[in-house]
Amino acid sequence: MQGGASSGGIMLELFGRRLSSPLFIPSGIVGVDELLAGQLGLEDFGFVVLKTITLKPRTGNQGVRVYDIPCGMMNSIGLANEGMDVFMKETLPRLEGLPIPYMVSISVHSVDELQGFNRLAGLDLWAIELNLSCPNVRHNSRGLVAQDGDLIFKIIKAARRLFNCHIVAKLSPDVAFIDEYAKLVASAGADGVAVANTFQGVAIDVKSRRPVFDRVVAGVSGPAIFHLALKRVWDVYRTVSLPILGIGGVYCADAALAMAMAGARVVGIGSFLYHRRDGARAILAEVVKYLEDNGLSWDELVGVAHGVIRDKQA
Amino acid sequence: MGLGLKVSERQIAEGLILLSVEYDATTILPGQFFQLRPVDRMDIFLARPISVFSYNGRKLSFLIRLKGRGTYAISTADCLFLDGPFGNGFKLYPSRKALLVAGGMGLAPLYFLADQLKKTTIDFDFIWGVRDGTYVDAIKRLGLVIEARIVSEDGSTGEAGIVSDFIDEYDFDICYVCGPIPMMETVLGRLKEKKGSGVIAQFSLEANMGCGWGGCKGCYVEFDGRGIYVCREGPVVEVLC
Ligand SMILES: Cc1cc2nc3c(=O)[nH]c(=O)nc-3n(C[C@H](O)[C@H](O)[C@H](O)COP(=O)(O)OP(=O)(O)OC[C@H]3O[C@@H](n4cnc5c(N)ncnc54)[C@H](O)[C@@H]3O)c2cc1C
Ligand SMILES: Cc1cc2nc3c(=O)[nH]c(=O)nc-3n(C[C@H](O)[C@H](O)[C@H](O)COP(=O)(O)O)c2cc1C
Ligand code: FES
Repeated sequence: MQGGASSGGIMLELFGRRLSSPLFIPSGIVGVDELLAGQLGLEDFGFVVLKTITLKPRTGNQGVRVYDIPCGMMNSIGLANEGMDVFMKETLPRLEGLPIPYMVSISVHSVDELQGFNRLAGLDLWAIELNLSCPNVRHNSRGLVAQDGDLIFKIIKAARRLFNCHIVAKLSPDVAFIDEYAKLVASAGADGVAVANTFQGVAIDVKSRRPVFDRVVAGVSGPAIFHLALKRVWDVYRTVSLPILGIGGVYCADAALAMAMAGARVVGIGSFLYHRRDGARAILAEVVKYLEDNGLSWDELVGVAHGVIRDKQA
Repeated sequence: MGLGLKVSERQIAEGLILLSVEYDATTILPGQFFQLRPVDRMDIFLARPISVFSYNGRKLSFLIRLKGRGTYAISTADCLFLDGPFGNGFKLYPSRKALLVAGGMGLAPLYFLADQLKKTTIDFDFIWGVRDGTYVDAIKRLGLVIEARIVSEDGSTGEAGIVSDFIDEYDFDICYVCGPIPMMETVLGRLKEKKGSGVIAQFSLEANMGCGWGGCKGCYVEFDGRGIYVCREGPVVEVLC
């Protein structure tokens, strides 16, 4: 059954793959070791986006890296990862053991840097997500890659030439008009758009009177950002027709349903898994029940809140 | 994957709280910790890492210093959400003589370790360093007996001094340490001065945690020139001095 609910779950399609759940784990939430060790119940997810990899290994940021805030968290991990060489030699072969499909996520700051990932082009990958929006590594003094329209257009265009697989652009919510950026990546040839990454925030420790994070700015995620993320998904859906990977603060079935209704084809559950490792289980069950009770398919839900005002331009 | 448990016992004494829940799910090693938060409260989003203070197969207890938002919320919760136990825990060496060195609230995991060591033939000494008498008084009011030599920086309780100054008085070949990082670094320095002694030192480290199970990469610290993820590779690191 396409996009339908069955007692076993929901079937839907994304980039030519049938998925058994509309929920997915966004990038950076869990590493391959923990995925394979069964730290999360993967049967609740349609797929997982792997932790972003960089060309060279990165230790990540110094100082405090995670911080609890009311209804959310902040992080300054700084893309700690083992780099492309280890990914190709050691991680990739182990991924065969994953019970759900995966997307590879790469961090790219320039067209030149993108060429360094050409070894991925030779693989039979389902999809690659280009993380253009990590707030914890700076592009230049002007801000994030995802805040530079010309640059992301060039990078996605180059990625389109380099890779045969599906390409997803992960955008930053910290831009004035995210739909403009979505239009740019769509016109450059992206197959999907991930909306969005963490919001940039600052925390100050009043006891020490210093910023909590060494780099001052960190990424805000969790329920606190849900309605902000929902607005970004809403705006992007009205502008481009690419599948949207809706991400940001989803913490309950209503939030997941709202994300879909705003236009998300699939819904990421990130930080909430730190609140509850098995948090996706109840969400999926309630989403299935909602669809059954209302006689709807998942496909019918996607963008439904736009009603007649939907206005696609891409 | 975590479970909600009713708080079965709760005692508070000036800045410290002793909490117990009924728990019989698994064996727990000294030095392991749980991720704790109040249930059903989204405003305490991330759980707090708390060491096991005591466990007898039925009752699981935590000794918690009230520090900020999270620990205050935990202290008043009727029901706690627990995930764990996480981390490697201390490793026991049956043929060795042990010294336990606690600093401040580093007491919690070493109290549990001492309790376990008593059940073995391993001989050990225990020193607890505090800044002043506050924790010591609070512990007494909680009705707990700490069989440790107490050393206070301001001399208001026990002997006056810094805990690391006392370790030379002991004869040991394994040293278990938990306390603030600067204190542990000083102890490590002292142990290394006796280089070649063959002393094994185990330090229980602290870091802010996002998940407790290895997912977030948030708990990275560097200690003795090594970078570790505290929840997965620690919290206990071993150094051969
Ligand atoms: C493995 C491990 C075992 C621990 N065992 C105990 C124990 O048995 N008893 C006890 O009283 N405390 C213990 N701690 C410290 C305890 O986790 C912190 O005091 C607590 O997280 C503070 O939270 P808060 O919201 O009250 O304080 P706040 O200062 O308001 O916390 C703000 C943020 O910083 C984090 N944070 C602040 N201080 C620490 C710290 N020292 N370690 C880790 N994260 C911190 C919090 O989790 C939160 O995200 C342990 C820490 C670790 C890593
Ligand atoms: C600890 C942590 C690490 C993250 N690492 C990455 C990463 O490596 N790459 C990436 O694209 N996004 C990363 N993110 C962002 C998430 O994928 C997601 O976009 C964001 O957290 C918002 O969703 P949430 O509110 O459901 O967590 C990270 C988020 C967190 C909390
Ligand atoms: S706390 Fe998340 S990786 Fe250690």
